[in-house]
Amino acid sequence: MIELAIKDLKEHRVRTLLTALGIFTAIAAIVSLGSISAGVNEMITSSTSLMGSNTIFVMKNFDLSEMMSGPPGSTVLESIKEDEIDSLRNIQGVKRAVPVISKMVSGMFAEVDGINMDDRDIFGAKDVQFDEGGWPDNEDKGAAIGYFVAKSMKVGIGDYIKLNGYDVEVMGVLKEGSGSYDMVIAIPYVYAGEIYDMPGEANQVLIEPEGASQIDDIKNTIIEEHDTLTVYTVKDAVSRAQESMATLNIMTYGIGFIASIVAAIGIIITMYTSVMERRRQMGIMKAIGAERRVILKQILEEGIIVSVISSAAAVAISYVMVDIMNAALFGGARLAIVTPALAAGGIAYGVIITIIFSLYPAWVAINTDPIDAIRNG
Amino acid sequence: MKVLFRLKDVWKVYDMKGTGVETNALRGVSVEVNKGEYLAIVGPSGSGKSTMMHVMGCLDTPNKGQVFVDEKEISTLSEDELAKIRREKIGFVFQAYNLISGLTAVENVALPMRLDGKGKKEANERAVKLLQRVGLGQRLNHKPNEMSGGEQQRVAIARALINNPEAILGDEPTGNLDTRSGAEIIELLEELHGKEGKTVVVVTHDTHLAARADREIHIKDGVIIHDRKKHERHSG
Repeated sequence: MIELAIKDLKEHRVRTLLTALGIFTAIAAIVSLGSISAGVNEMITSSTSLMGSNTIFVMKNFDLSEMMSGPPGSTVLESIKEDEIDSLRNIQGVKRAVPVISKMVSGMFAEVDGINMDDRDIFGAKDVQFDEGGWPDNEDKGAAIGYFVAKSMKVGIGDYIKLNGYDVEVMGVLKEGSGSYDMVIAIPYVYAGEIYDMPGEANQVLIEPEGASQIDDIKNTIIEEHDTLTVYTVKDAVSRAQESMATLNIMTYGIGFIASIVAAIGIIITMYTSVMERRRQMGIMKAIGAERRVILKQILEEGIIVSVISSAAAVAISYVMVDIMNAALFGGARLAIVTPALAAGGIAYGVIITIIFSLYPAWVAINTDPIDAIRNG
Repeated sequence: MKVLFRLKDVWKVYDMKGTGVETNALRGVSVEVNKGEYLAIVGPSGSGKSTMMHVMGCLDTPNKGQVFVDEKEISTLSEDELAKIRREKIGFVFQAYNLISGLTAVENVALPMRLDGKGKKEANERAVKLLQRVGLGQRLNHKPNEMSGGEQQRVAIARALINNPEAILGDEPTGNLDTRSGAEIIELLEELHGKEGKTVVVVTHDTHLAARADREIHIKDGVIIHDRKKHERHSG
């Protein structure tokens, strides 16, 4: 009897449209804002999955609150000196200690990483693919750049990008979809030391232990012997990132949730109005033998049809809104992503809140007195 | 003769909302309607005749007394069980036709069969046949607002017949019709009774309609004043 539900929706277009608009707005808000959380989450996951799970990160101690309060890239971390790097290499259980010079590019969500190209596998960079060109050699004065860096800066192979006053040749452009590498500029460690006046120094050191059992010992040794250094594992990094994500999630999904409450109120009002407008019809149906479950089914069917269509439309428009958001806020970097889970979740959420908030109007409908409804409409 | 409807000392009291005033619509009414009978219920406005029909047709439940449909006592039945009886055994025809405005004639007629779980094709085929039977073969895809009052009432009658019920209950079926349309409906009801053996119960002010019935019950102030067969009426 779904055709009765469809007919009724078509016949009361304004009411149908108003219900759909409320659901559409709420789901578009949830999915668009949620795409920021989803994108950042995916970036964290892809970055940490590319790297070995045993990797240990070492940085100079920093003030987290000072870092969080300034614009991205504004906090200057003290560098780890050459002798400190050697000391880390000599810790028992350390297979290799890779110094990295990391700098944020001002005005962009991009990071310069100066690394020894022979050690790039520690970043998981061994398996990333190139659209054109390839990795520079250690003695080259060039860079391999991520897809979004190339797109934002409008550069390709043979072009030059300015880093700290130096003109650096683009020698490779990575394929789109390389996870966090989409926003990386990778240059040889020695050349990075020249550009940023940090010869032999590093902003962070990545340590590969000989085995997983060595991780805690290495960590403890660093803490004991180097009180100016902060050390954390991939697991620590993920849980720290997830803590930061919690605030972001509350904000993005919280706003979406508030939007959905507003939509839910709209759903109750329009569905209730729909039931009251059709009291007579409900009465007639009951008089000619419709059971309560049939009336209930009709009301819920209408709600489900409207919510599936409007939620799907909201998800579709979210893809466009996310592209606009990435271009306007993140310089074209794909920071916000509508993941399949987010899309499916958005549609499911739209349907669920519609069903829940249609239950009261449905209850009113199934309890309509047929005689009263027929007489008084 | 088998009894289709039996009311036994039935009382129906309406409580006017918010006023605390009670109205006795039926006061101790007892009546039996046999299968195949054609009964007219007459009386002034507010006499309780519609209430009697609604109770008989399981649209309303009494405050006191018992109601039997096809020998089955219905006071303990749930709302859905009563709906099932209405769908299977009773066809209603109302004064205001009570068709669903967004549906075509075929869809309106097919609706009770669809509510009974039958498929769309089967229900629509039967609906078309019934509409042709009541002379509306050329109005199959018209909506109620595209039809005259008489045509709408004929659609309502076709709808009442879709599940092949034993009884047709009409509440002022000619009340909103002109003389000619009213006459057509009267003929149709008589045909259903005479040729198809349907039990027909009508509530009416229309003396022409009442005159066609085999039996007339006169009700006033919730009490049956007299209950006369056709020959008894003529003999006074």
